[in-house]
Amino acid sequence: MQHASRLAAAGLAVALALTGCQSGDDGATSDEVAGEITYAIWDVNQKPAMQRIIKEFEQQHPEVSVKLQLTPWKDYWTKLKTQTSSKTLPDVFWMNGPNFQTYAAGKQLAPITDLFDAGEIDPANYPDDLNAMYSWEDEQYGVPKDYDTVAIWYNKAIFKKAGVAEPSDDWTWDDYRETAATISKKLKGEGIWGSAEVFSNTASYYHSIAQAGGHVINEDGTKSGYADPKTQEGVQFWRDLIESGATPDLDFLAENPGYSLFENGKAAMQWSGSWRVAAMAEAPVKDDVAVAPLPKGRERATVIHGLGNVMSAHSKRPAAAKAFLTFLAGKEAALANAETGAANPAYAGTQDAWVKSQPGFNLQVFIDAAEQYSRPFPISKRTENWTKYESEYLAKAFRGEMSVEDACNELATVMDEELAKEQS
Amino acid sequence: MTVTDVAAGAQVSAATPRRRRPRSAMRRQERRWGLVFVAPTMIGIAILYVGPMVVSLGMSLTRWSTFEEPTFVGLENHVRIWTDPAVWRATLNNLVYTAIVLLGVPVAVFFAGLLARPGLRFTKLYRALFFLPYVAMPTAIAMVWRMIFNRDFGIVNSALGALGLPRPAWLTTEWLALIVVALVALWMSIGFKLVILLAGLQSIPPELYEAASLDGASSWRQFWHVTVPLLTPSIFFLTVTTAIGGFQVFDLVYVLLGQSNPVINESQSLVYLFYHAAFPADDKGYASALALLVLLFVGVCTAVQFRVQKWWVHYD
Repeated sequence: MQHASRLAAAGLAVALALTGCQSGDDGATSDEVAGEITYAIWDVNQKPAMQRIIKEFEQQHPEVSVKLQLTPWKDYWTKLKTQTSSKTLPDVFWMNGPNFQTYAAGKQLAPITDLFDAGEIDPANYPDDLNAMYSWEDEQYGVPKDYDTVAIWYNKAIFKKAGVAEPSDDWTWDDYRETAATISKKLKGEGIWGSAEVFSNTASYYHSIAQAGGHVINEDGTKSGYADPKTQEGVQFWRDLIESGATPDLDFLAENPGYSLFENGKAAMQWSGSWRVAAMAEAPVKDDVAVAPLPKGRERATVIHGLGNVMSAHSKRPAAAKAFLTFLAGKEAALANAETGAANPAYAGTQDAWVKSQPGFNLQVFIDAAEQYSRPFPISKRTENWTKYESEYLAKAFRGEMSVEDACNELATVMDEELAKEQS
Repeated sequence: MTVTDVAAGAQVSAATPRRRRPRSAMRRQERRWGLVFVAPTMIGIAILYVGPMVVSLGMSLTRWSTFEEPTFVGLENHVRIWTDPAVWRATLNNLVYTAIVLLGVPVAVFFAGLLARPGLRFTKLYRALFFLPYVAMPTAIAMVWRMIFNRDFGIVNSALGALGLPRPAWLTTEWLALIVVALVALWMSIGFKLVILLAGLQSIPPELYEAASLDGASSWRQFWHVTVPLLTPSIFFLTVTTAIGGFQVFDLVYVLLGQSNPVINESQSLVYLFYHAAFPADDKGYASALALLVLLFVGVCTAVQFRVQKWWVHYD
């Protein structure tokens, strides 16, 4: 008898612990630009940049104090949901494309259209696609913080050791796979892989699917693209990469994450995003790292995505939260993102500062990708409801438990069911 | 309590009817004070245990997630449990896990017997060493074991490799992962079990050992025929709490294996399943139904143990 009740109590305790870190607000909603507000983020690598922004903001608004709340990516959305249930969302927090519509439609975000109308924030400073990503039913709910694309991160020292040519701008999928397999074979004795991949949608397969000419979801977000043979080619690319011995399999990566392998000089290449810059700059391999454009499939492509800053609809200090959000949208905050290398800012004209933050990395590749051949990130109203199936089925394909074709076809079926539910 | 009270009252009233009133007044007062004394505990249990339990029951009859209003669905979640293969796999995992961790009881009895031997030096040091894993943070411990059992760089596989033996993927192979989790839990729990058993040992009168050795019993026979029988109340306590703990396991599975583990679906426990339904999957109705299932299992398992105990536990 005691057990489940103890369980329930534990659940309650967890909920309290998760939400209890809220600021010491004492009930009443305050219209003054004053008091303590919280700002929730998920990337430890960007913490110094965010701290700098907070410091600059607090100098301008001494009566406001901002508390930074860092929750690692893998728990961030779980925690946010718990906070949503208990109406204790942070005052201002990071949002991404796949989750935005869920929160906007769920009435958890405060509209900030008035800030745009009043000219406090000028939409012309950000790419149109990103503004659109954070608007819902004619209201603006978020300001683009940064944008990211993906490239090949590679380790020059390992290429030299293996005696193979570094990635070039005109690489194809075959070049990538063959080079990675060659390096794996040559340096096996030292435990070095040709590539160590992340096998996530953001870092890996959304990009290869676009390069194969496939699509994850149709334009109005109502139908899955996984039944398309071209989409399946984009998935097959990763299965082939594992089978050729170029990259470790998922079992190996479960115990030794791809990011750690690359950062510790155990892998020559990795598909990953511009969000890794701050981490790479601290990594043991920092002096040997550079980026090159992703290899070409049928086309040259990468998927672009950007974070947004949003504020809670239930904030006890909406005026202070708005003031902070406005500051986050401004040029100073963008430069803090850029100069620390934390993220490629969305604010027009500040990207150069980001490229220069790590001159050795050749970060211009990410900007060129965004400007020349980027595609929108696939989302729908309740993206999360089908991405959980996506990672489940594709893992089966990557592990060879199912053929890529079967896994993708089954995924298309369940994804269509979820999308149909969204429409009803 | 009431039963004995009533029985005692009946005896008293039959024997001395005239003094009945003052006695029962006193008893009433005693009872009142008794209630006052247990009140803090009872109130705590009501608020923190019984309340959430009732709420869970209510929630289990709804479909409830963060972004929708709860809707009443009757027994849908409870019916779903019966058709969800993950639930039965998790139940099996819990049983295997509990069986392995229960092996810790005889192991602890053995070590307790050794530690209690007269003339043993450094007893306190040994006790501290055994107890250390119990007071360390499970999460931290799990991180260390995760490194120890790492397929490619772990110390276990390095040793096996040096001996020319196969190097299994401990944490990513079906069953093996579960067994590793159970062994770590067993190792962690020895310290607590030892403390309970050592306390139990101190209540065994030394005369019994004297008598036994006068009768020519070897120390092995003394262990079996004096120590073990008189320890059975402590052993019973340990099997009950270990079995309950076996159904509760969550943290070790979460840290040692984790969500991205390829065999997590084959290795998860019921509470892990509950956590996954409640938080990442955001399906609070189903999670509540799972919590009630765990309650049922623990209730049945504990009731059975209390029934069986009279066959093997000696309370004198």
